[in-house]
Amino acid sequence: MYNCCCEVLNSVNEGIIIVKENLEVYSWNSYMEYITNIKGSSAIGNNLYTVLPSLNKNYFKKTVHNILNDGYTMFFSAAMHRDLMDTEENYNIKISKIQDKNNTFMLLEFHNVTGQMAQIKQLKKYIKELYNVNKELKKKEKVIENLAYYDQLTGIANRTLFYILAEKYLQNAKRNGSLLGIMFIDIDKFKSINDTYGHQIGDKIIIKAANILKEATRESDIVVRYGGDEFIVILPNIKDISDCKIVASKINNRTGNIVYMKDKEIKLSFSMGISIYPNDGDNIDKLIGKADKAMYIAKRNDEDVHYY
Amino acid sequence: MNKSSIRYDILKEVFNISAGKAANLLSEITGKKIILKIPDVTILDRTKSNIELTDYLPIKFSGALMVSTISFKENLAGKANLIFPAEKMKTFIQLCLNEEVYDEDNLSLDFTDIDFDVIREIGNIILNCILGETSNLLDIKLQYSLPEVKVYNQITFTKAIYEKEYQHILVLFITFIIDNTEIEGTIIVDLALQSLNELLRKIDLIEADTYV
Repeated sequence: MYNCCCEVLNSVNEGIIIVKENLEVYSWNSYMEYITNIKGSSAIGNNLYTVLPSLNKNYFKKTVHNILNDGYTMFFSAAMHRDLMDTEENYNIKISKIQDKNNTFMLLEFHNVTGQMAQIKQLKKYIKELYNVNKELKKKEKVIENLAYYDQLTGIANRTLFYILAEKYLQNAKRNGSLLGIMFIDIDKFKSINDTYGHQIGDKIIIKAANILKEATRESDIVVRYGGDEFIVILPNIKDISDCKIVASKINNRTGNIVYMKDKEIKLSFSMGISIYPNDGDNIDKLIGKADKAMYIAKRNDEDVHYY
Repeated sequence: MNKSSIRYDILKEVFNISAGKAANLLSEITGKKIILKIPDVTILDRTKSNIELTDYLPIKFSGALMVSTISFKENLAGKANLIFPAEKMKTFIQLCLNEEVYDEDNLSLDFTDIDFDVIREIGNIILNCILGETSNLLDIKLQYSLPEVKVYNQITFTKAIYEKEYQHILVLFITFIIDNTEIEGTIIVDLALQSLNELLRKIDLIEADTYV
């Protein structure tokens, strides 16, 4: 029967050691010989820690004590115990107590998981690569979105984003019964500044104008570069026309509306026209048209701001 | 202080000692300081209709659970479950393996065989200590298996727990601290009525000894 058991253990495709209660090796199967390069004849009869010194660790000995005393079955994962076996391969180790009438034994099973671990490592590497590619694509998407919706010179919303946002705010105003202001703005004498000082200074003026508008408006307002030197400010949730007046007055009365050059300074001023939903129209095109007209009236009359 | 709260305090004390032993072993294995605490213990009667087991799980409303289950037999047969929120386990496993924690590793709740093996080992150490203490208190011999580790959604898990034959369950709240990461979990152990009575008798003996 003993020989038969040995034959069975030798044909099992995992390493098996059986030790007596005093940790003397009782059985050592063929797979164990293959793993460790230690012949069964050299291992049997010797102390487990003498044959496999890599197991001689404090926590391992404590665990063996628990197994023999309390009958626990213990499991050592290859991932957490890379140094438990002195081999290149990775093994999960399961240890349990075997008790017959007169004797206590301990069964140690070594299951090779090297292939599994290598595959997982490879898979994780691919996931990491895919993650990085995905991250890169998202960054590029953001850049493309930025190019599509934001003015490259000033960084504020462009005409495309304006129509999307304006429609959204108009629908909100219709739903909530609130007022929506559209302020059409252009820079006074911009053409003449551009002709006199050149395009570079012209660009500087446009950037300065965008900054002035951002600083002078409320946080909830949207400043848009509509084209050339034309800007639009969307004024959601205004109570009445006086709210627009306050914003307009802040824009033109800022002390910092000056662009400094080497030997000159240019004071910026704006002409503004305002239309209000629902009084002046119930769609964005009508509201823009009326705000634009109001702005030309303001310019013609040499006013800062005109209401349609 | 009423009788019941003293009993729970004693149970808490006893299980905290065994949790401490498990923490020491885990600290030695991982090379990191690990603290295991049992902040609360309770015994539930499943037949009482007002008991909602979900109130005792680590995630209150939603989310997957990672459950290590040990089956025990001999003088008492049943199951013990160590339950942690699955979403926190990726980081937890990386910490146990002394690996660097990357955001991209935690994007999904798909666990590898290595992850399951790590949880199997940790669950085994914790549940062995708790079951060892329970069998000591009950003065019975238990033979138990290695844990089976599964990821459940809450409904499936609660259903699986409710279908069990035992009337009482021992519920231990467990806090696992590794580095600066704290994970709250629950341990649920089946208790036969006879075992419950024996457990309470043992606790009363400890209490009597304490006040002698």
